[in-house]
Amino acid sequence: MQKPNEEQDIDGSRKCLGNFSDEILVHILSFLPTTDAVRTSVLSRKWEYLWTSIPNLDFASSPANRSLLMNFVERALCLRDSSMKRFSLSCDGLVDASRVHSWVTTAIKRCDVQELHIKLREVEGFVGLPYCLFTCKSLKSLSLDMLYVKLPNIICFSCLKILSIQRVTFSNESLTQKLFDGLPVLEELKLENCSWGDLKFVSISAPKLHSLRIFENDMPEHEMQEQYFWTSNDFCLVGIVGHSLKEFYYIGNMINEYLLDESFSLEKAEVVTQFEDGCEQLAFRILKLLTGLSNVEQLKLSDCLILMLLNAEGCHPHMLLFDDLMFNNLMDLIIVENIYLNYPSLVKILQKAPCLGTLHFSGGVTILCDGESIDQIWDPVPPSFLSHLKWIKVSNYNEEDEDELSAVKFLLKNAVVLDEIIISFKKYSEVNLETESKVAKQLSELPRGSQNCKIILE
Amino acid sequence: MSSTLCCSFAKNVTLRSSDGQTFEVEEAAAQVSQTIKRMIEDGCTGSVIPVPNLTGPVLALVIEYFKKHSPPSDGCPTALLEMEIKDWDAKFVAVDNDTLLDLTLAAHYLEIQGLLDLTCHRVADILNDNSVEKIREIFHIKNDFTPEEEAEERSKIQWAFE
Repeated sequence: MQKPNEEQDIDGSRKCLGNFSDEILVHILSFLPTTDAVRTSVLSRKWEYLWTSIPNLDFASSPANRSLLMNFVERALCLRDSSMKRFSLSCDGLVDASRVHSWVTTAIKRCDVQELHIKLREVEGFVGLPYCLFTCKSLKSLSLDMLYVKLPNIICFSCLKILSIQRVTFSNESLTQKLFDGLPVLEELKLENCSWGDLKFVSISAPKLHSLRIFENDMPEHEMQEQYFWTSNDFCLVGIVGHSLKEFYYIGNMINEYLLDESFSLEKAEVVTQFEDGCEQLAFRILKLLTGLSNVEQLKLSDCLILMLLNAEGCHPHMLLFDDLMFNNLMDLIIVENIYLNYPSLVKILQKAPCLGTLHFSGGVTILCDGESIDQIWDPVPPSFLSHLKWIKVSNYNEEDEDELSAVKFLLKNAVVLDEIIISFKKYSEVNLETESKVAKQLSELPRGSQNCKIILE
Repeated sequence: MSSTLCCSFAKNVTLRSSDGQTFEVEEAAAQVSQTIKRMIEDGCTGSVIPVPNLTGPVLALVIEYFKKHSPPSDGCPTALLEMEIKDWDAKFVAVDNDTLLDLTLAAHYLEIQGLLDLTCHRVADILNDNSVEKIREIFHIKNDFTPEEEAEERSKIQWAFE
């Protein structure tokens, strides 16, 4: 603390950033990307080593700077004498596997790293991660993006809260199971474009897990493959015991089977499949997954998924599963992509959600005019339409499409306790005032089941 | 100071800057500073609290920050309020570089973590946007490397300049 009478004399030099304490300067550097923090080392002698104390070291190599950067990472870890919050390494080109191994070891053993992100696109030789990683006590967040991870026999991430695994092909069933069993405090798990390889069964039962995200990008490559894409026995059954699970997301094409069990506290779920022509087997897998989501409060489904459920209709045992399905807690339903109100499977899902309060067609909604009468398909009208459904939103509305108007007309007629319907134009910026007032007039003239329902255009 | 009921009952403290200017501020607001909070807890409220490391103009700015960031009397801050404060913060540190450094030192001395993060982030943005030569000029940093030494330093981190 300076004495007040020194104030005048030192005023000039006080305002020099170089006179700040190292503590403040390191704090300033901590707001910079690693590269920029490192660059300050040429400012003056005082700055030369300041960057070596910043909490996060993030390195990303490009083919152009690879060897220079690799040498620098080595130096950065050598100079490090304090603990580190985050170490991330992203290499797009070839890197030396043994060096990666030793860096991760240093980050764990000497720096008590809390967050580790390793992304390796192409690696010279096989990268074995050090086994000490798998029993690391300081690690809170881990993200691995590589093709293969060799797992040790003993795995326990005693503090790990966030785990993200990308592009990894799992290979050994019992070791993979050890990985998922060694996550006592894990809260978030993301599996993105991973492959279960030859594995037949894996169980994910981390007791504190509250968010699980699975993305799979397997697609049948051509029509011939479709025949056996879902019928082959080459799939993995992934059992998820979700005692604490609050959020579940699945985007993919169900090449594997995912079953949820005991997910009593589930709040949000999203299941998006993108394939329109799948077989009965796919429908069955979807149904089995949906059965595990029955406690959910907010659900997002794709139009393809609902379309696929039509395939379950033909098969008796699948029908039974569909009949037993109930969403008693479901309050909000969101459907992505444009959907036809004519789908019997859509009506069926609505009928299984008696407390549904909001319904959002985020990609629009249409009625197919020919074919079976819509009133027949919607008989009986889902119970929520008579008691709970207060709010509907139709996004992506195309004012020139008569069938979309018919769909809105149908919803307005049947939702008898509706408070508000929001019609959101496909391209609002291109809708002129004249069109808007024409649509407003058109909609206001539609008969409404709920007299107090407001119609909002946006 | 204010006509609302809650404020008329609020306790005030007086802060004195290095150049002898005094400022009256609500006790709750001043406690945004951990340093002042401790002084109040230690019973310094009876007299004037000296803040010897801050000149009058800087202390006046810090008090503005106190007022904006004092805990709301009616419970939790709303999202809207938080957004408004964020906007206010951004404007608050859009000052000349010398004032910015004064505020940084003040935040450190008075242990105001929010203000310290705010000012340090702003300094970091300036470091990020400028060349090495320009940074030295802006923040009056004397280059004490010989040209050879500087060239060597640069060569060590060549990748960072690409």
